[in-house]
Amino acid sequence: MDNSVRFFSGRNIRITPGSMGVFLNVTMPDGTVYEDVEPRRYFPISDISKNISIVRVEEDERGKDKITEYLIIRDIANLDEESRNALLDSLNKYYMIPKILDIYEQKSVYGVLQWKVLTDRGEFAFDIRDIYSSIKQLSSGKILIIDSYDNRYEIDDIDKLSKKGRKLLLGYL
Amino acid sequence: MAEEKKKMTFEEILASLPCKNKEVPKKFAEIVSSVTDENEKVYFYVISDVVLGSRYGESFAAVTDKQLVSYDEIREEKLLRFNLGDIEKADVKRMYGNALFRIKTGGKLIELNKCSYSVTEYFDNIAQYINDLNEGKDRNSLIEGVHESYEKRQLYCPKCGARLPYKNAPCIKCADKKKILGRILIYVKPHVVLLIVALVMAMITTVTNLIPPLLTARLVDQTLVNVADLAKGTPEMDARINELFLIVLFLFIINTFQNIVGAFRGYILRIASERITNTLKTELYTKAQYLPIKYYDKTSTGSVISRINGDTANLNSFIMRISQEVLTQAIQLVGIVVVMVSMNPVLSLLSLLPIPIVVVSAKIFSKFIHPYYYRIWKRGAKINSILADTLPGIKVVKAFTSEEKSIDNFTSTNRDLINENLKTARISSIYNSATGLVMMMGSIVIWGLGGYMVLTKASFLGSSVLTAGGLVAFINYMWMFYNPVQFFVSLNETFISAFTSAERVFEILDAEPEADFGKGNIPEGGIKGKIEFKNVSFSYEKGKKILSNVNFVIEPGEIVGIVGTTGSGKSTIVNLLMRYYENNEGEIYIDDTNIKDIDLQYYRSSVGYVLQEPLLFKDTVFRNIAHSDPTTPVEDVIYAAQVANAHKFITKLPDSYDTMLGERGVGLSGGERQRISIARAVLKDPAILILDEATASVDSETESIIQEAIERIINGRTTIMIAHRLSTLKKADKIIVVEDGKISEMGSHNELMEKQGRYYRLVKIQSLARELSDEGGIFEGDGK
Repeated sequence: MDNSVRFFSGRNIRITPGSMGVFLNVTMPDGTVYEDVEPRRYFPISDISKNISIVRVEEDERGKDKITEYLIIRDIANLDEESRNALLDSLNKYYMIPKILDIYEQKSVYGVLQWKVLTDRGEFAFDIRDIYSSIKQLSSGKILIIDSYDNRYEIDDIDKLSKKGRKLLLGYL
Repeated sequence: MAEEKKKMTFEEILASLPCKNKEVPKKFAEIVSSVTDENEKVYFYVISDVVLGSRYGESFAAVTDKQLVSYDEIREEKLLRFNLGDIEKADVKRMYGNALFRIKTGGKLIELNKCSYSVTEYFDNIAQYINDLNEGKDRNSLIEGVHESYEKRQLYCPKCGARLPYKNAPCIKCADKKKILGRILIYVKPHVVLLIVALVMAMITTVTNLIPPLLTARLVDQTLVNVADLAKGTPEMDARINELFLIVLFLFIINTFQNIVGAFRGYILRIASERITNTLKTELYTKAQYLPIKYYDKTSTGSVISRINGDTANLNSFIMRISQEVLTQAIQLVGIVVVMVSMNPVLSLLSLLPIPIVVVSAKIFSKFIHPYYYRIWKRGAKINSILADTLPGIKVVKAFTSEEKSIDNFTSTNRDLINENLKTARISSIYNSATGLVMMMGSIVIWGLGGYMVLTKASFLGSSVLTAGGLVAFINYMWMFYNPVQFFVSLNETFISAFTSAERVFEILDAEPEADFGKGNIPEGGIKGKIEFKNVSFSYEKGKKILSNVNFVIEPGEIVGIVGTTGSGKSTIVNLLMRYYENNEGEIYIDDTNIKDIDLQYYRSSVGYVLQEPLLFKDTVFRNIAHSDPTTPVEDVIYAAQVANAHKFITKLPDSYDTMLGERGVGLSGGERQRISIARAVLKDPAILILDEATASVDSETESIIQEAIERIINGRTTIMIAHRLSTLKKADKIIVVEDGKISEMGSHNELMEKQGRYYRLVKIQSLARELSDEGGIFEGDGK
């Protein structure tokens, strides 16, 4: 019994937008077409452009998500430009991990750390309750912040923050 | 402190509509009113924080009594409206860090609004509302449910509109400080005599503190002055020597007195402090024992532990500061100011110069240093977690030869900690030296000007002429003056920190304990063991039903197996039977009496519960078995251990029944731990026995030993067995198959096999797996 999902480099695979939202149509090298499928990252934090799984999400008879996995694309870079753009657009819709560009304000109110930040998706305010486990420095040097609702934010490079923002962040690393 | 809230009537709820997750922007309200008619009532708003282009921005969905309105600036067609009856299905697709509110209408899926996880639950509520309404459920109770969910998630104070730090948190702005202080003082009341005695002692030492500088002034000005002109043996010299000894003796007496009083006071305060902390901790712990399981579903045990340990200590230190320090520091401050001004008003004014610098710099410094201390704490916590992972897990570390990796990890984290400590120490030293310097400069100015005044006998603003001794005394007072100033500067922070702790402590003390409507109602002749579920439905959270309309009867002494896939609702049936949750619909009867009408303690003592992962306490084997009553006769404990097939292995342990078990039951295998927990259940001699996957985590050999023990103890008791391995249920009189919270099949093993339904299929799958496993096929055997 072989349930293993096939890996593909990405070359010779065509990807175009599907019927709506995150949906994609994927044409395999042998001509097989998977319509209205969705992409998933295997490493949504540490390596966002590699190992992209293509799945179909359906509802089973009990109303729960049933996921069928078709293939894994090793590296987005191997796709042709049009396919890459379609895939990236879908991934951007599915994954929302705003990149924090600056920290405007940060204050601790009764054990809750309130932030006001500028991200690549606009300004936003969020709270962190468990400071210890919610701000993580990853081995790549990136900072991952998880707010009290489990929303995630990233800081790619601390040095790119303003002096004030850097100072505010360093206190919690 | 959670203020008690009266449950709203439906009319009040209706009048309070629309429910909203935040203030509805005027523009959105106008859009909705432009598409609704006069009599149309808006029930719910969800103001989203993300727009469809995955950027932060506001969009909304609104539900009225007729339609669903969705608005998003990014969408080509900004405003969309749907009659509620035309919606086939509404749902929320959870993605990564965001979610989509969608509907299906006319066979077509439409994406309406996007949101971050902060808003997702509100969309869940309206999606569920639309679906339930279209299924024909009662509109009023649905509105009530959505309203309750919105209320629970309140992130803004309904009174003042201030943002709350977390869902349902008490608003610190609105909290009545006097009321909180009053509640704190209740804990002081029983020890008020001790505290008054300590306070009087403190006031005495504070006042006597003011005397030594005056004595030294006299010493300098009168006793030790012009000694070159005095010949030895003259009466004046003798008088001077007498005075010197008298002053020294007086200084000695004052210091000795202060130290003795200080020692007594310290001891008295310790007594009061320990008693107050003890009362607070005991009250909290007692309350924590009687809190319902649903409280722990929402609050982590770690947070309860930190309240019992950290917050009570914080409150205690606040009580001590308030009851003692405020008054004594105030007396000291006033006393010193009076003495200083009476000695020399000009110098007094000058000595105030460094105060603003010290006060402001202290404020700035405390803010500045806070992150540094946090970094030290974080690294300390990391070291603790490395220790907690690697030492108890030493077997794994050795098995994977990761000793060096562990050492490297520990060393680098420790180095990190040292670096942070040194960095903080450097900053603290600089700050302390700088403030010391500022204060010293103040005293240098006083020395300079005061010295000049002494030499020239100059006086300003009508002050008396300053003497050398007066100057020395003045400078002493000046240094003493800074202490109470520092104290009052930090008083506000003490208040805030204490009130936060008080809120956290009182939140537990005020939480609703487990309801026990049947208290004192003990069934005559004890519990026989008949169980009846009548139309029982249950949901942990409103809107998500885990059990729907469950009906079954179990006769006394029957052995019943409950079968179903993970998440089917098996454990929820047990949770209801254990009365961990009681807010179910329908009724549960025990021996034809409503379960809620039986004394809770008595009922639970009549039920034996063996879990898949047995919990052993850090105590001896004997006390672990005799957990409910440590005075149980030894014979009974040994008998229980024998029945549970545990006696043999226990007696092989060097300390036998005295063997101390660690937090993780160190030294015992999973099967041994399980047998101890079975012995614990046997000792209870329960009328109802619940075995929840009791043999799921052990190997086949151990399983048969445990199975043998189980067969021995189930005799004559109503037994409910939850099991994945269906082979363990062959002896059951009845098997209940649960699927998606409903009973899909019920009957004996043979009946269900004949029926060839769900149970039959499960049995077939498991037999096939076993056969393949026996043939060395792809399936993992049970520990083989």
